Amino acid sequence: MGVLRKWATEWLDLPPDVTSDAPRIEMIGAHRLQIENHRGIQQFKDTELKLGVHGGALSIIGEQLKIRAIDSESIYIEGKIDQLKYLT
Amino acid sequence: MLDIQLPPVLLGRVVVECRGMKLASFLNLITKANIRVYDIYWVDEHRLKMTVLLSQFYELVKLMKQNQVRMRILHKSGLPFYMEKAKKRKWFYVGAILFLFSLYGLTSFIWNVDIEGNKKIPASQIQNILKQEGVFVGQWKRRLPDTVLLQENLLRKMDDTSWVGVRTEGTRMIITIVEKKVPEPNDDQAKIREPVHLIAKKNALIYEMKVDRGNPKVKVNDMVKKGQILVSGIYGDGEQNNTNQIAGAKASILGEVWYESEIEIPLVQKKKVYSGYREKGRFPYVFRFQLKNPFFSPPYKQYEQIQQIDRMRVGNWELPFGIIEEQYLEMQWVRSQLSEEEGIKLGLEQAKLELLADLGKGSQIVAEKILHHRQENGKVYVKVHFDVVENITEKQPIFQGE
Repeated sequence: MGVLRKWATEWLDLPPDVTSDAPRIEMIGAHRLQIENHRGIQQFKDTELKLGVHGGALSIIGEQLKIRAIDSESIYIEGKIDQLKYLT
Repeated sequence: MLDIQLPPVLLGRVVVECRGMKLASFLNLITKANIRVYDIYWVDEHRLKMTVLLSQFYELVKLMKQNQVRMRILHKSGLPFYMEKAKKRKWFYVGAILFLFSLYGLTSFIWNVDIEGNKKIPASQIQNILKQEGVFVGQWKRRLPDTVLLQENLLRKMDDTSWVGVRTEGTRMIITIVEKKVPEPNDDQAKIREPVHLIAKKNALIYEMKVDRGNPKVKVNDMVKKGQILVSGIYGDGEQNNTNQIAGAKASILGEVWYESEIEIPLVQKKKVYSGYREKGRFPYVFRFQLKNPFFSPPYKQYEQIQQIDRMRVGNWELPFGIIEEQYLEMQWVRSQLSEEEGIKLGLEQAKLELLADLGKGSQIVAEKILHHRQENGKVYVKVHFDVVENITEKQPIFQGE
């Protein structure tokens, strides 16, 4: 499956986020963050949010963090975001 | 991203507080169960605040029970909850709607018919005519006749009116009537057969006579005494009483009458002169007490004051308080010193005016003569003789069988 997907991406010249399992992260300013393709919340506090992603975890560090909306694929975070860390 | 078909306001939202041990993993369970939660706040280590749609609330509760998460409802909002409340307050809304309906209903009737401008025509008569035309208290506004038509009809039905105006102000109907000016029945016509003699009012010298009716007993240049018959109302010579016809008398007889007036004129005259400046002040009053500003003083040294009282009214009922408007006119007393001659002249004028005012209209001063004058204590005393031509007739009824 993985091989096929990688082949399709290369040959059909598709952007990698459409096909791969890698998270697509979109940040608007320092206050809004939208992540697609997450693998669930690991830890949630108002200063840190740890999100499971393909191949590890993503840690969002900030203040007054709030989950604006969530479903099984995407999450929309608001708050004062200071750092974005990949933990592998 | 997350698309919600209907705005959450319509679907109903519930804000809940969850309490439990592993809340992060519980959140994953929620997303896996396809329950849409949003606005998730971290309260403390074991508490989260979140909002869920009402339609998915019971699914969420079920999931909580399975995972030993306890919850508390913080807030409910949206249309479904509002409807729930509205059901409880059914009669309130029924009342509000009823109120609007009754307000509309009550304003679609005529509650007052006011008639203005009638002096001779009694209001009850006008009301009767209006009733025939379909204008009365309690009439439905839609069934009122057309204004223009109504005006025409009213004008036609009431002979003594020269104009009728009809207007509606809300629930009030105002009928304005302008009455025809009927000429006063002629005085002479009515009294033409009045059985009277004309007698002399005063001692006088007959100056002019115009006899319309009756038997003149005097001639021009006759001296007459007070009470003397000037024109008899009985034709004939008065000897043969039975054949004499009572016709009444009507004549204009002018007699020359002499008057003597004595006047005193102070030589120092005081006159008011207004400067033309004026100020206004408004003060409220309660009962008999005027609430005056203690620091207020009239702005002029010498002034004349004009008061106008503005009473508060409720309908015909006078309230015991209102506003007094005061006007201050600045003025000055001006003294002037008159010479004796000027004093006499002034006195003469004054005497003439007084005399004419006493005698009434139709009188005329034909001659005047100063008999005597003297000055004393700053005053001039003048004695004047006036020759006045005036109407000297007076009516005296003729009694039958005299």
